[in-house]
Amino acid sequence: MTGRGGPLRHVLLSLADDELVLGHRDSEWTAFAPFIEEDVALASIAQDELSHAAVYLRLLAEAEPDAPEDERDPDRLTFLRGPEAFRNARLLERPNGDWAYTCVRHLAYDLFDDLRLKALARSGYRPLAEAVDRLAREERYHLVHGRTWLARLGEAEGEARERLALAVGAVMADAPGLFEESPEDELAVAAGIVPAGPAALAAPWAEAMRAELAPIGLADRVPPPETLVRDARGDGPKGPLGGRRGRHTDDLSALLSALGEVYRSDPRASW
Amino acid sequence: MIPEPAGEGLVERVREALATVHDPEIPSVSIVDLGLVETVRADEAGRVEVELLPTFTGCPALDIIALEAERAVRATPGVRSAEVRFVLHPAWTTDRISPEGRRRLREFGIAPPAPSAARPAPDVACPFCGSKDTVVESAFGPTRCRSIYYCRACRNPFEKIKEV
Repeated sequence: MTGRGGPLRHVLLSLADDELVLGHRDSEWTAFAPFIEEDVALASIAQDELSHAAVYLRLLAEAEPDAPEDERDPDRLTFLRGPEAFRNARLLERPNGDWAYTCVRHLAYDLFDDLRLKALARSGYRPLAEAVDRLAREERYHLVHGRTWLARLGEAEGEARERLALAVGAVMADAPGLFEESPEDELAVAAGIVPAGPAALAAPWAEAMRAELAPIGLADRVPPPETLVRDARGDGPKGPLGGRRGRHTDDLSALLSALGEVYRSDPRASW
Repeated sequence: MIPEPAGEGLVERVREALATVHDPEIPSVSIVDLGLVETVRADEAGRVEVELLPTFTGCPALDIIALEAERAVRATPGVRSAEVRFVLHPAWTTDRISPEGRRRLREFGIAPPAPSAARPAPDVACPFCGSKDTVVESAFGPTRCRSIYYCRACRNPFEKIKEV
């Protein structure tokens, strides 16, 4: 369907890297979450996200059987790739911050991912269309988790309320990165790999996000779709964009260095 | 080498062998009763291919289940070679768990999932005392496929298979 480095690779790496990077952030809460059930919840969600990343990376390996090992082996792609080769949205590489930021970011991402998976069920690349049904069934529990926490944090007053409002503001500032278009997206649409580029998800996402934030009085923090797809701040160090084109912040470099530390100590070891 | 009839008979025997393989995290239920076995193919030469469906993609027991399944298939008379692999399509759902599987889950202390046709989801019965006075403690439990509940009647925590 496509040559190496083509649109299919871009689509699969965007999916895999979003899940991989956020899943790693989730795992950082292990032993630090507010209470033990949340330790288990975040560890479980991390396990889901990392295994979904593995599914996408295996699809890539199957699609490009002749690619060099460093470009197709899921372990090598995960542990040895440099940040410039990652295609995740910047929103997902930001450090965890506090619990409010963690919950709001996850919900914002899960709403986006839900829309993306629904669209991918119509992908003309059959192995991808078949896999997303399986993954969407698992992701549903992440949505419920995020919604429960948003409602719970939204009931609080005082410092909790202030932190929640700050978290919503910070997540909304980076949200345009989820809808960032790159040249490969046009090719992916033309090849039938995706029914539409990521920008097409901005309007339905903004509507879904407003619906979640309305009951706690924060719906007005969601940027209008036209701002989400045309962000003026761009891909400077503080801007939301660049991730889908491999332009990342130092936060991703630090994350990848921790993620691959053990693997790189002996890349030929068998686990 | 004892000649063995191939084809349908062999498929049947392989299925019986697979019924002896258990999820290591739910030792009372076979992978057949859990609905993990999607296809079994056998040819005249005794070459067998088995396709399994993962309950959750992140389940760490998948490799062990595949290994045990392969061992059971290889030990079946008439099998010359066996290949066991997990596939993602069709998606496993909790509706694939057999009535026997549900009974055995309950016996093991795990509440079975509600059938997807049951809407709204019925109250969850405690697998220990049968009371429906139960509350969900956390959607995420000790394994990817289970949630944690609490029974207010007999005051026991218990686990339940998540509906997917």
